[in-house]
Amino acid sequence: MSEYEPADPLESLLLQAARSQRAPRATRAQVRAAVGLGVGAGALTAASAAGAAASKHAIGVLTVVGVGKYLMIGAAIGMVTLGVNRYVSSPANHETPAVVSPVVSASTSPAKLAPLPVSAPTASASARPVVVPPAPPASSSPAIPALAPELALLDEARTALRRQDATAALGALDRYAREFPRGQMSAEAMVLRIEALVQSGDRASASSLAKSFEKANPRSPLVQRVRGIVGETEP
Amino acid sequence: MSLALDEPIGQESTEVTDKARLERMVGDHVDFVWRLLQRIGVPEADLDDATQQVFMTAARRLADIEPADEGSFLYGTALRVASTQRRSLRRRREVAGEDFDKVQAVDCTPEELVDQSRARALLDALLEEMPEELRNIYVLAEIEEIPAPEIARMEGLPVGTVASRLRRAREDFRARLSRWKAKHGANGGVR
Repeated sequence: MSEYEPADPLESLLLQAARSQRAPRATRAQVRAAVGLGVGAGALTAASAAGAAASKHAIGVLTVVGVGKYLMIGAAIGMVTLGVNRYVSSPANHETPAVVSPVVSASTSPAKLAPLPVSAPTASASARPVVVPPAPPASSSPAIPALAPELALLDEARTALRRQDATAALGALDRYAREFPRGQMSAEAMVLRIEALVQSGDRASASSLAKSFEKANPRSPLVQRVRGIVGETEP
Repeated sequence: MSLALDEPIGQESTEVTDKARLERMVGDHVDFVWRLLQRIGVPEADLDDATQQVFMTAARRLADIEPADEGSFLYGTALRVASTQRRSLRRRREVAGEDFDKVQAVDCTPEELVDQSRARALLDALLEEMPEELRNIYVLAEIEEIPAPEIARMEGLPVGTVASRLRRAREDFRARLSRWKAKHGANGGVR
């Protein structure tokens, strides 16, 4: 509030330390992916790098507890299917986020709570074609090359589900299970399998797998999703 | 609106509109939500998950949120998420037998608070001890620099009540800060 100036410089110092904070790029990438917005390679690299730097995350932000793992599906799906996100190719500089967002300037200014317009953010948003960025070089981020093949298979499954091709989806998920028996995206693969089984009409197997998933991952944020998949199909 | 895995097949035009709105909402408010969650007691280890939970809730409820109320919705959701996280943290502390004064545990001189991470640690410890109704308004007003009428709308309170609480919140915060300074033996002179 502008009319108030802290009399104590120490109070002012504390407040300023908080005001200057901005969400890390990795957090932004995770949030975007969590809500189904695309995440470019640069953002993924940033997320991975931040995860590696944070010692509390054993295998990086991409595989952090909770929805962190789930985010990667959103990232992959977003890159392929969302028309509102624009990607640019900038593989040479991985410090530059590959996602060009109409609100990217918010990262350099304080959050504002003023009412927001409902219209599209910028005219160029719909005019620019979607360009999927090439994968970054292996040397820049070890986590991305390791994860990319997993994401590709899950994306293949998801794409098949979107065209109602449960057989193809299950085929992709079978390949995932064979190639990545200890994959970092195993939980997400299981959720997609449950969805594919429901779509194929095999509700008994879907329910059984859903129970197994919930038992093995009782605190996973995907549990609600799994319940929704199985529950939505109840007559 | 739903999450990526929840998306029904088709409905592309609605999805595009929702995605554009979500894109803007995340861009405009992610810093606010992330900072707020820290200030209201979400531990650093849970911060990313909590931030995601807030926006995932917003994504699920997007159709119910008036554009003018996005900030209020995110604020209310963040409070609920933080409350859950704090309950869980309290249980963990009780189980671990932890019971200590977090404010006094920030052991440095005022001069050393030029290190922003130390400054934030002390700030968060002080805020954690404040009554919630005062702390929330103090955070919105003094850190987020949100005007009183907007805070009143977010909190569902009359503007006069917000002003009154903010006055008390400032007094409360300063009293706690003074106690910390007294304990750490400095004159509070931060240059």
